[in-house]
Amino acid sequence: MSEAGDVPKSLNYQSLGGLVVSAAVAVFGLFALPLIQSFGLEFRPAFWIVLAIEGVGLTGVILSVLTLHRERTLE
Amino acid sequence: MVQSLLQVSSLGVEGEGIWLALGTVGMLLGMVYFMAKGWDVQDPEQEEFFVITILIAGIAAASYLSMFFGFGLTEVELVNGQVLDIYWARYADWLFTTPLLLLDIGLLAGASNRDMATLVGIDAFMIVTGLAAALMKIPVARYAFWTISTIAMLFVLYYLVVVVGEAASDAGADTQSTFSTLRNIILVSWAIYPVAWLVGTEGFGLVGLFGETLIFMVLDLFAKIGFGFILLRSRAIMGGDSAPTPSAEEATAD
Repeated sequence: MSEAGDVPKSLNYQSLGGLVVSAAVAVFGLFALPLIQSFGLEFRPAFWIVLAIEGVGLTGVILSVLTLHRERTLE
Repeated sequence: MVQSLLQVSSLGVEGEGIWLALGTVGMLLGMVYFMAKGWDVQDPEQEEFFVITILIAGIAAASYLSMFFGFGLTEVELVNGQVLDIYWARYADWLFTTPLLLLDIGLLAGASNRDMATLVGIDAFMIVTGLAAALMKIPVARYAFWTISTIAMLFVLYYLVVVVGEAASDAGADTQSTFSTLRNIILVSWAIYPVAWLVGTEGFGLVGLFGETLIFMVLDLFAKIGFGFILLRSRAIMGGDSAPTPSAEEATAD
């Protein structure tokens, strides 16, 4: 984990924006199934798309939260 | 009488909509409480905990709302002709919120990014295989995937107790105390989920959709809002001994 001294004093607004967008993507995914199916897809392929949307949202949230105030590496 | 009213109003398939409504309200109230409590927080590390925990409640509220309105429900017809009503939105919710819960407790314990990534990876595998179990049309395949998912869950819990617990052992007394409480919440509540799946409509069918939804609602509220309530009120977060843990030199100097 990063040392306390590495924590910048200012909020990373890019990460904050990413957090908001990612959360919105995740919420959209929860309601998107009928919309996706309206394009002619059966339930299962449409559902895999929803899961992919949720995965993208999750990745965005985790990366955004962890860079909200500091830069991190996989150490 | 309540059951009759629910059936007349078609609240869900078997009237379970009442629990979905209460779940939505419970998650929303939790989210609002966490937001109110964290409104004036300035410390960057405290902010991280509040952001993660508020998101957990918010995503869960959206999931319950989608299930309540029927967006998160589908039917799966098994090869034996039996038709199951599957609330798939649960799995989308869990795919999102369980990694965030592990992120919360991992940050509290001071676990390394590598350990947290491993934990989240196994957790995601657990949820996806659980979802596969719910959507399979062949009963044997359903229970096979349930077994795989449950084994993955045991790995997650083991990793949480041993690896993340070891990281927490280097922290101060308040952090260790809070970690122990939250770890136990996860151990107890998460272990019940596969049992609820097995006895519910997706497994042996010993409990109907009405009772199963109630069980999941109680578990979800306990595992998410109860977890967040304890975390965000703890001295480990709000007091002097906040996560992540200081370096060994700083700890010695104290």
